[in-house]
Amino acid sequence: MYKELFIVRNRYVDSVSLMNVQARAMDEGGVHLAEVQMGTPINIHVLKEMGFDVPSDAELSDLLIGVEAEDAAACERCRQLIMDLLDHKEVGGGDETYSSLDEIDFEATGYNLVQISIPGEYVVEETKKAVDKGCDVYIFSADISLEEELEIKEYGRDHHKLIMGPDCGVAQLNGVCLGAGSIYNYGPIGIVAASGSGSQEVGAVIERCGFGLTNLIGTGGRDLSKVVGGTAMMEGIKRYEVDPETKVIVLVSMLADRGVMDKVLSFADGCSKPVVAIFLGSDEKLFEGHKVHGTFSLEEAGLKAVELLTGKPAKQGYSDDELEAIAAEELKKYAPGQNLYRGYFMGGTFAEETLVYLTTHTDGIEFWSNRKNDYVKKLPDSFKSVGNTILDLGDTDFTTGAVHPVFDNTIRDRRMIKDLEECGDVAVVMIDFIGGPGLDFDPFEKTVKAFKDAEARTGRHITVIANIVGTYEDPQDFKTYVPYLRENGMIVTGSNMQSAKLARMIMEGLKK
Amino acid sequence: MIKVDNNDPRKKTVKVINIGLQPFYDEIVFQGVPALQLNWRPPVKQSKEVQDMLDMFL
Repeated sequence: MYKELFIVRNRYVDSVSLMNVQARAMDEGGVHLAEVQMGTPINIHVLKEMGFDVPSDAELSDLLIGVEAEDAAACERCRQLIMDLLDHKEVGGGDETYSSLDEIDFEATGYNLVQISIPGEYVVEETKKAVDKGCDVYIFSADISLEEELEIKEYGRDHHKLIMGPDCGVAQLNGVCLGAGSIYNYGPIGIVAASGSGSQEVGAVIERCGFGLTNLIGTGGRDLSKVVGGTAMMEGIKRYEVDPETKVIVLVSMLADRGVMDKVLSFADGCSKPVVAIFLGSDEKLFEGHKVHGTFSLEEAGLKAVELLTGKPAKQGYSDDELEAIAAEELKKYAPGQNLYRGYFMGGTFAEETLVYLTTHTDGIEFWSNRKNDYVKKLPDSFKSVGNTILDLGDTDFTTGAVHPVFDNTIRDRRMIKDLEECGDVAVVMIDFIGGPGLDFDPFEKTVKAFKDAEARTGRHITVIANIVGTYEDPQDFKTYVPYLRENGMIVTGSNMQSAKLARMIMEGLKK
Repeated sequence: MIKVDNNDPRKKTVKVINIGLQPFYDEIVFQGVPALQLNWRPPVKQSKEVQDMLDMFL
């Protein structure tokens, strides 16, 4: 067996790309192990533990490639494959490669949208460059200050360009889905959203009602903060107001600065088109005196938009009576002492919607979460569940320096199974499956197997309530897998709110 | 694998440059949209002394 460590100086590669490249390298003939990591102290420690000779001057900015193969030639082939993959030689980038926007002739090539997912400290410069070249900009990167966020959004506004982000997880522009978004049918409803997973849910509900989207303009989660002032959301509203194809506008955000939410609503009041808003966790008072139609769940926002479009009430998924009947059946299946709830959410908005709903609609049941807000107790340790726990697995607690679980659902599954095996009193579990061409293509069979294993080990029935957040155009093949999940004992609802209602009904039943 | 409507005429109006995460580039290509992956690397950081000297000469 031959073992070698290669070091590539000053070469940054993001963690998702590293994960994919490593998986491809492991498939190479003669290769037993391939570890491709940036030179963080933890990674250096792990590589040394694996027996690799890491140079003492290896730094954070260096790329480390550890290969164990049958001989030196196989090691070298593996290294070469990894470098080719990282240099994109294999993925259709064409003969020409560019390392800077300055090298590209935008007039000749016609590029008009720049997608950015690089470390935060470089985002302002690249964004302004892209705007100067005449492009709209989608920014997945986070880690930039609020002041810088305002600076680039005002820069975009003054140059009549959309700035979607920073920290924008989901968007769709002219039929092209960006980031972690779904592929929506074309239709007459336009969404502007400061919540990625929230906007996906609204879009999915609209699509299940038979309609579609003109665009889904993401703003990033902090757009309605006091500093940023709703700058991007108001730009999005302006775009839809002059777009003849958009007939109804939907605004989506988690609860934000009260003054800014009010300012955005006042701005939207000036639209000639109907506007629906969901500012998750807000009260009815926020909407008093505004023309905008206030809603209080993601599903309600989608249904209201369809109703305003068609003039008729819309519905999809389970009715409350159907959910009551499902709860009654589940309540017959538990062992004595099983009375706990656990929620494992990849979409932060689903965690928020669930905890707001469960804490305000149950009596005498205590909830814990890694999310900070007024409704729940904060978990002392995000890596250890307590009692009834609602986890936002996309939070920085879990994603700093690691892959977000939407790219690899097994991260969620591992945590869930560990919890279920540690605590046999869990009766109800809520999860989400999120679709889109940028995400885990095959999340279902792995999760079903994980649950079956957990049930077998604990010897107890666990109710798994799953919300599918995606569309039939997404590559996850929901049409095939929704029946598959149901055949394997999961309850697949029509929305996160339906899932939360069902969980509440079961929890209330378990108290009796 | 589910079909993707690569013939949606709206998509012909979009051409994307991706800076960063490779899967986001793959995602655009998957949708049949012209895309370019920028071979972006962080700028090399100079020490203040070196930067001051460069500024003097450039």
